[in-house]
Amino acid sequence: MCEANAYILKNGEETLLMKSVDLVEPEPDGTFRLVGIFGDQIVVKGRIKRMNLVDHRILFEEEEYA
Amino acid sequence: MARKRVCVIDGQGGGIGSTVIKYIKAAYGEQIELIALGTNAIAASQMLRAGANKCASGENAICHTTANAHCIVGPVTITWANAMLGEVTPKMAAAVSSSSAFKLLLPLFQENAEIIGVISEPLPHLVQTLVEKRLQEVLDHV
Repeated sequence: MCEANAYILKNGEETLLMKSVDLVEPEPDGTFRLVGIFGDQIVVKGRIKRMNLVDHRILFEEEEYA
Repeated sequence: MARKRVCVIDGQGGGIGSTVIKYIKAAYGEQIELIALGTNAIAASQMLRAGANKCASGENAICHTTANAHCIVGPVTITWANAMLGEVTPKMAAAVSSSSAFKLLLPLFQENAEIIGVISEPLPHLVQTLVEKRLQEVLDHV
């Protein structure tokens, strides 16, 4: 699969949050809802640090996620 | 002449099936009968909203309807027992695999498996290939 993968930067290291992300939606409380192509979803607390679309990578910055 | 019957099968949120149906509907309109079969009601209703002519959900609907289809489209996991967190029952998988309909399967799965030789492509590219290159060839021969 070749959709974007979402990572979070923790202590200088990138950790995979979700593979095959279909949708990134900002929520009113400042979090981001990520929905995968299979309908799975997670909520990420933090901010988007970088979106590298050629490499299919979305990088978030913040330690915790709901 | 009766329209060719294409069954699109999906489960969980129905996102993949909905994408397939949108593309097929845009390319074929009402030339074919497009039936959405969900392993659950939410997936079926999402696919109906995407433009399917009819929808049904559940094991018996899938077992009964796939027997009379000309072509079956969906993620490869519709042929894997207990895939999609168990939504694909062994009977569903057997019915799809046993159907005489031609199967066009997308290599998209979350299960602990790998299909050797498959090139990673984004979902829209896979669906475009399916609809624009393969589906017409299949329908011409069934």
